[in-house]
Amino acid sequence: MASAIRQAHWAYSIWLPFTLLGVWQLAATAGWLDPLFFPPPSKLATAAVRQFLQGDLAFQVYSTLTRSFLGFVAGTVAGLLCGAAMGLSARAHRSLEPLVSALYSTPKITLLPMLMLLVGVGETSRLLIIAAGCFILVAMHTLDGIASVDPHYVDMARNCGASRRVLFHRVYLPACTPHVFTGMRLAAGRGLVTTLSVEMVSAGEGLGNVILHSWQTFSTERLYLAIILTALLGASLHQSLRALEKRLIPWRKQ
Amino acid sequence: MGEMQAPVRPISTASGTAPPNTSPALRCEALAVSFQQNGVRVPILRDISFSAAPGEFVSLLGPSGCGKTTLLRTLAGLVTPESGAVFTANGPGRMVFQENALFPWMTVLDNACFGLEIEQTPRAERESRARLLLERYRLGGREKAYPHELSLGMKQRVAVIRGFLSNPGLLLMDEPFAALDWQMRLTLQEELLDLWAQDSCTVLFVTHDVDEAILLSDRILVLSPQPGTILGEYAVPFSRPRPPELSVRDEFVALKRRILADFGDRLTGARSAG
Repeated sequence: MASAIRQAHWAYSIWLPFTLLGVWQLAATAGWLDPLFFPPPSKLATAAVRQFLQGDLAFQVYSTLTRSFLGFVAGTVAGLLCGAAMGLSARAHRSLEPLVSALYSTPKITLLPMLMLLVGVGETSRLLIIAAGCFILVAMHTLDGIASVDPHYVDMARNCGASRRVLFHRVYLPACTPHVFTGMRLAAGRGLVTTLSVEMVSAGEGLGNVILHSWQTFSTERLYLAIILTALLGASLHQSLRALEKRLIPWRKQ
Repeated sequence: MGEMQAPVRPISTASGTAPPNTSPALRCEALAVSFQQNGVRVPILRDISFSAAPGEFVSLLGPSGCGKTTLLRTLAGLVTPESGAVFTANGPGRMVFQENALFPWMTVLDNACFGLEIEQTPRAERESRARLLLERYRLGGREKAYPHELSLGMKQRVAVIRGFLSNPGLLLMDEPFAALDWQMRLTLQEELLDLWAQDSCTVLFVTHDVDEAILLSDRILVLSPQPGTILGEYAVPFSRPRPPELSVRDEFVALKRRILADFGDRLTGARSAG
């Protein structure tokens, strides 16, 4: 299945979006769609060039990227520590598990008002929300990764005389890397999603803010541009993490 | 391989005691192992006593589930015996496993070197030693491959090389060729004997295949079904190197017939399971 996906020509990955754009263009120019609500892609393209050259769109993309990146890094570091502690110590597992599973099933955005009360309405509350989403995913996958280390390989290394230090960096660490990386890949996606939601409700800039603001001011071109940019960000993030995974975990069966 | 001189090895007598002037590489005394299963004590091995001389090749022949693997794991220091004692001249033995015998996240070269890496042999030295063996056993050019890119036979070949490279006084092999097809098994058996002939280590080889046991070993110990204990012992007097055609010669067939006549009823279960 996986190899079948790799064998298919790259053109298979782009024909659908381009066909949709073509249909949209056709419908808009033929007058089936109201160009006020649905400006044709050709107009969006020229608007994109204009807004990137003269406007603030690059800055908006930059804000969204930095915000989700900072949240992702903070959440990932905390998640790795928490997941490792839970995986390695039964006491830590017992103590942290209720909190982690409660946080897992709570939509993070619902915590924003509470956090704003706690740390103020500034950037800290937004970053905390984004980090919380990443934290949960990384912590749970790290925990899974440690739990799934095959004791057979631990025995095999111990039999060769491996010390605890060697066991850690030659067996435990590589054995759980694929799980941890999956957690981080999901967290990066989740981070972007949360960033957009947070920007829609509480930020002065960023793509989420652009979307909401364009809706309120009826700037449809800008609205669609922001949506398309968001989708492109998500897609390129996913692709680059996949590529990174192949480099970092060459031994994983693809 | 053919031009190799047959090494002179001490072959112990059928009574199982090593020649009096040699201290054994391995000695088990009244070894018993049991596991707790749902609060019930299940005996796995009972009253296992034998010894192996330095450089001797001993096979443990027994049906599946007779505790052969547990015996090896005990000798490897991975299982604590309930009673009895194990004495080894050079620390616990090195295992070569039947399945997943390589670390999936290490390249062929790193896997082969792992024992030497633990001993902190300098990288250049351990890699050149490993490359030499990989080259000789037709794994040249595959040093950077990962185990999932290798065939089963190649994987086991790397595992055997790692075993010998880690300077074992005692090598414990747990049916390393059981999952291989006949042709591949013959090749690896020959390579194993070739490697062993150049090393001074003692080998304890678990198998349920009578032919394999006779072809490889100096001595065969037959184990009973669970709880496993030693039922009998056979010296294999054939000179080395042993050609694969040995298995159709009269003396080979006679020994095989003797083993099967004595214990065939207890081994047949294993043969159909294997």
